[in-house]
Amino acid sequence: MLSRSAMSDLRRRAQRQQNLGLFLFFLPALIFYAVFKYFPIIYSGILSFAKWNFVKDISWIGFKNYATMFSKPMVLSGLGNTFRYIMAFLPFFVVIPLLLAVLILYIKSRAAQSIFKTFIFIPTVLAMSICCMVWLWIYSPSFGFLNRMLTSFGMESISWLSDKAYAFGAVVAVCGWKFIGQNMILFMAGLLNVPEQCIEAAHIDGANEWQAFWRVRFPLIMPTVVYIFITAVIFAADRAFTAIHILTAGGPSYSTTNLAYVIYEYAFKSYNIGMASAIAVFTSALYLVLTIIMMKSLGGFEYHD
Amino acid sequence: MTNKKKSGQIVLCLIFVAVILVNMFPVVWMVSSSLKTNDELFSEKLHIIPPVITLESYRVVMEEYSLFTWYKNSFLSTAGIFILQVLVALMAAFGITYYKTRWNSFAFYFIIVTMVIPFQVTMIPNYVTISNLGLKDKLGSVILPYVANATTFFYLYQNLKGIPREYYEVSRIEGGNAVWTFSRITMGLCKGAISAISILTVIDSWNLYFWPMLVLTKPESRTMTIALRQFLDFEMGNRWGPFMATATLASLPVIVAYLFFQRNIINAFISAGVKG
Repeated sequence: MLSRSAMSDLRRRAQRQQNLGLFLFFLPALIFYAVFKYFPIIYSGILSFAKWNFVKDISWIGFKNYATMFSKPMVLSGLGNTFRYIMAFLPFFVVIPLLLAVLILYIKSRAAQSIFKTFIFIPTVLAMSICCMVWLWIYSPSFGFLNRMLTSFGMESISWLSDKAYAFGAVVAVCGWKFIGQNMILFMAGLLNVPEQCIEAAHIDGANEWQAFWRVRFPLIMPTVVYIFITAVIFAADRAFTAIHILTAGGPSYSTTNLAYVIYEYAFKSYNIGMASAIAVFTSALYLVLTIIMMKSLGGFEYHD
Repeated sequence: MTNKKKSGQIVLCLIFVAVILVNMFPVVWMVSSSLKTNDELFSEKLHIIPPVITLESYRVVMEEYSLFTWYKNSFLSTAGIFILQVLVALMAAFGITYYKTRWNSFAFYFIIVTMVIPFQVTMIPNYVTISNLGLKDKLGSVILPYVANATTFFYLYQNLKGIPREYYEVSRIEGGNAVWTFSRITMGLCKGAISAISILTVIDSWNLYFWPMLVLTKPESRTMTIALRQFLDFEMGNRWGPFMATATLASLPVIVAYLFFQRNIINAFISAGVKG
């Protein structure tokens, strides 16, 4: 018979072993997340109060970067364009993919359905950078496919990427094209998750297809809609960078920049690290709000034993 | 009625054929341009299928450029990111689901919270860190910042959480230690989830552009996606033929992998969401 103190000693030792086990398995993650995620946030926060160009000594200037941030035309156009991108992406990210997802589910032939699905998804797996460079060739002013088509119909050719009237739309078209297939697949998965009984019940109650969709299916796929909307926002502020960098380099006259591009310009073109960090911190705050909304509305990110 | 239904189906299929034609056009145009002669590339007439098919552009890329170095760099950095990212995430997920301590939820949130950190915030400090470590222009500079990926962790965690505790109890009674349980039981049971997330990680790593562009500046350290930029130097004159050949060669492995693992890839996309 073990004494009570020996028992609790044993239990404590077992618990210590559990702690050690978790620690050892978690250690690699701890190191990588600390060095490449947590340290950078703190460091960015600190740098946003500094004036620095990677080389010279750091000088501290307090809130000056934040105070002057919104008087810079480049920052303002980056912010404004980010919102314009969000609006312009919605048809490509939400409306068209949702429409296609609804339509493809009406196709009776399973084989046809899966072939269409396979092909529509292909742009998703390709590199954004390579796609953009191929599009650069399609948009090319004198030899590009688009202008060759226009001139063959006797129309004037267009400088797609350097004309202020077209450049923004040209970037949006490439980003939209890249995401139609991916989002269609996500909507399909959402729609297939809606229980058949719900639709049948609606039909029994006298609802037609149109009503059944808006009253039953659409509310039930709301989480997918929210999720895709958030990805559109993040894409507008951040990932569209690749397209912008390759297609227009932010031009003509800042009309196609987004927040990520502005940060890049400040950091790696004019080496104004303090300002770049301040804009980055501002962008993160924007993300944080959006992500909290997303996690709240989708759920599932909590820890359960 | 049946006729009406049939014609409805045909119209639907025609709509999708049209959508796919538009959707696939840039890819088709890329491959077709890579097979054209230089005269054909800049000719007035547009041919989707080139009248004369030539591999000249491919020859130029292989002989005049260091294509194999780019391939090697892309391959090594992709392999590095994929192995480390999945392994680190898998170990953390295993630790959190296997052991019972009061630190579990802390460990879980420590990773999950980083989902909301945008790339631009980490970009400048990581650039400084990588420079200080002396890794600039080395492939490690591309690999290390991408090891930490909360989406990969979350996806694997959800799958590991679904493993019934009985498996672990039996393994413990049989005298298996944690490492054995991890490598034999857990990895065996989650083979499907691991391969799904691996495919996504590989595709993402192969396609990286922004970060490698910042840290790989020397020609000999370039990966495929970064190397492509040199064909588009406006002052030197764009070399569209070799560019299209290289772009095709860079996309080919991804498309082939996609066609092979299509079902897995699409399912992984749906369940893991869009990786980032």
